[in-house]
Amino acid sequence: MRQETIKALREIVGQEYCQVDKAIRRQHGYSEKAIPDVVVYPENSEQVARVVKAAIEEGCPVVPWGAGTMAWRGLLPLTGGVAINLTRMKKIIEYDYENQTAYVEAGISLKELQEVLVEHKLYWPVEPLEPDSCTLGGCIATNASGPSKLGYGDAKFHLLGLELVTPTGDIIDTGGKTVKNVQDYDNTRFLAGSWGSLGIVTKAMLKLRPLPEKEGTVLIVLKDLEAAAKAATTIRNETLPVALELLDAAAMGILARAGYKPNSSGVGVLARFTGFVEQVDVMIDYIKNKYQAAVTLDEEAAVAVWRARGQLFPTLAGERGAILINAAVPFTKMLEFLTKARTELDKSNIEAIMAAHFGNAQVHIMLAQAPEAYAEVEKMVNSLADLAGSLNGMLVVDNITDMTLARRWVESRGKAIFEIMRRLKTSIDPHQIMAPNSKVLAYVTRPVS
Amino acid sequence: MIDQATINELRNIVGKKNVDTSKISLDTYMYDAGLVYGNPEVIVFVENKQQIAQVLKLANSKKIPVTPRGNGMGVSGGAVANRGGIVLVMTRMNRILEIDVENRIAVVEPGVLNIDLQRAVAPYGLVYRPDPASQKVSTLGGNLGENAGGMVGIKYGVTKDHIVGAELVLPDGQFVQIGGKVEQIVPELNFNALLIGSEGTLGVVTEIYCKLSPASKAVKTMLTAYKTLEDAGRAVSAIIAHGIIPCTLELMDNNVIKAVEEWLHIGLPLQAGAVLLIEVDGWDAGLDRQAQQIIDICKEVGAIEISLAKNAQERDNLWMARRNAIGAMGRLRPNYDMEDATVPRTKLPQILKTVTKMAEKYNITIGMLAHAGDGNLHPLVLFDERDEDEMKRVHKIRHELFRTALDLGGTLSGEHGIGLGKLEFMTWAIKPEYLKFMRHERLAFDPNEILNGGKFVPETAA
Repeated sequence: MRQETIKALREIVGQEYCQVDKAIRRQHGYSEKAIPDVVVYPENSEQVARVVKAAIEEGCPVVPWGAGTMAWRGLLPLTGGVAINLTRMKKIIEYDYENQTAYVEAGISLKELQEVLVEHKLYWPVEPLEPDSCTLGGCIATNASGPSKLGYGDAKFHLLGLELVTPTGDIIDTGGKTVKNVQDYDNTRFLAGSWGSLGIVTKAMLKLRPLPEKEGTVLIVLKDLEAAAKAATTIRNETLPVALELLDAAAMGILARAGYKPNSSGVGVLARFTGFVEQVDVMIDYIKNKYQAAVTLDEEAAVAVWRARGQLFPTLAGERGAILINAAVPFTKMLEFLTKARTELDKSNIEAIMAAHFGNAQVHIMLAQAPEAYAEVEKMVNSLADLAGSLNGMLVVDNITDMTLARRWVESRGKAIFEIMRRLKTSIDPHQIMAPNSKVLAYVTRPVS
Repeated sequence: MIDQATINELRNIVGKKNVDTSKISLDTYMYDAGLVYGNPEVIVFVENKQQIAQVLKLANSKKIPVTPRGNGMGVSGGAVANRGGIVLVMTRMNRILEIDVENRIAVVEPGVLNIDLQRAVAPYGLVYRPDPASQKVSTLGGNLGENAGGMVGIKYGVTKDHIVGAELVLPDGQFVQIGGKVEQIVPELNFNALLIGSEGTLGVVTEIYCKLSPASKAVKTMLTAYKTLEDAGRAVSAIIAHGIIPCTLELMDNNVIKAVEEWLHIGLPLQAGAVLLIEVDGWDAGLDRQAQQIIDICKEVGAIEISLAKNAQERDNLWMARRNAIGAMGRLRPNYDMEDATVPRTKLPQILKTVTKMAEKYNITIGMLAHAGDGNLHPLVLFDERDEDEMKRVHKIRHELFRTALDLGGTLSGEHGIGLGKLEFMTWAIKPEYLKFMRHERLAFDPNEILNGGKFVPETAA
């Protein structure tokens, strides 16, 4: 990067907020090798826009950055360019609790935000993997979700509008403050999950929910996948859980290491109910009457089990790392997929666990294998992908740089999808600077690997 | 102008009987349920998706404007052929292709009526949530194009919350799958979000994947009356503040109450400034307590009358006023215009008051309906289209209404769309840089701008 560009960036954000220190750059990169040339910490949207314009001048990439907790999933390695760290932009501009909205800067930590919202018994119902460290902007860029997406949907369902710094350095506002709004294309939801590829989300109008009167969690440990999948199916059909998870026996083993020790071994079904007291009680009673093994967890245990559920992957990964596979099939094919996938996994001697958002018919398979050594498991993953495909589903690996599998599913949408992507990217980002390492548009920004 | 050779080619694609250029048909297809008109040059009825692809490809190669159309129930000009060309009528593609009960997905062709899907899934204990007032006559393709709302938006959302994907034909005749029936887990852009509510500017949908939900087991319905509009507005805010999310929260003002009562004699409180129709649903357990909480809240803010339905018959009675509101108002004058400016919920009393003043100032009768829980206002402006002076005043009211809504942090449209009807206000609501951004999106799908050209996203914005 040219010295005069560094100088220009310093002038925009101030000397101390423009860092070329290697340790800091490393925190904003994908790996030791792939790090930015410079990290800037803008204070407001105007500064973000000016940084983007400076990058256009330099002809270098810009990548928005929050806490960096999800980068390993949605970004590819990129060397050079500017990382725009948004964590200084953490103002709550307006908390309109009567309308149940909040207008907030993207760099605020989710935890800090929730602490403010709870003062008026409201919250933003999104459960990212790392709720204590992630930023709001990160949740939006990645369209974060957790178990409760069954009941409430992922992040995009809880947004009313966004402020975006475009790849040409303009500041635009999508959506608005009303819960119904059709005066623009729904770019609010479209940009949620776009991983920075079409611009940098700098502010968001959040749609909030009232805290439920009651929350209850039930855990059922059953002898095998079939019994558990049947129970989970019944729960989904007969009650209204906001979260419904299935953890196979191997995952239940890791759950103990992750902070919650189940009373018995087997396959776990974990269901959460929220709402008015009577409704939560009647649903939980229904389950307890039906399944002897069902246990209602007290508040402390419920917090522990959900936290441990969120920690399955990092616990398995440890220092070595782990491969995170993500599969989706029709709900009716869940048992077949889980059973056959387990058989396939058991052929290998690599430790593997399965944790499903059962109600959403989505399965995470985690392999105790470093992502760098993906080649060693590629054949097995491909069989799993074929299995998902044969059941009208799909399967990808979240944390590798090889896009072959992802491309397979996108291509099946029809070749024209790439033409649309290419036209969209080149017209909105004519200088090709905005997060070119974002996987969601890598199909057209990068050559086929 | 479409030449004879093109007409012949269209006939080859869809058959002679499905190409109509008669004067009477062209006139019949010149309008939707709103106030703007435009004459097509030819009407083409399609029966399958291959025909759509071929018609589009032909039109694209000759840059002929195409206006896809369902039942023409839109009110913003979405189905109006503003540039002549082809009206592509989808109503014969009205098959429900699949009801997958266990997976809670229905696959439908775009010409299926909303009500027909509702009726088809009801026996399975399922429901397709969006229920626009036009549901008996509007198509799901139209609902998708406009992101139609309805009476249960506050709790269950709108069309975009219940359509998970579609098959789309692009203007060059290529097919793409948008979204899908299973959870979308691949790193890719969410084109489904862009498509719903795009007013037919990105492509023509040939199949729609509708998410089905388990029907509510129980419902409690209340009709509550207030002395003033402000009291009703306060009741809405107070209910929400208590953490209760009703599925329905509909407001009607005194003009509407009077019009309905004069017509149907159902015993509505004529002295009330406004009534609220409130419904809570879900599981039976605890619903009584929720209803009682709502009744208590309404009393606290000064409700003058409260009725709680004890059975299905009584529920129907309470709904009767709301269901017949538009018809009742429509009886009073030759024409009506129903806008859908939307504001943050707490600003509803303020905008209702402002509109009441406008009605006095311009001597125009306006009846007020609102999806109050959504802040979605439906002023019914009554007039006679043939009266030029009255029309001028009606236009002034529209201008002031949209200005007011935007000033209160609201939007031009909550659920009816921009189309042609509100195009002139787009620059008030949206910055030029954002209009340009949207134009890029539109052109990425439809580079020659043959689909609904000149609607929704102003062309001057590039």
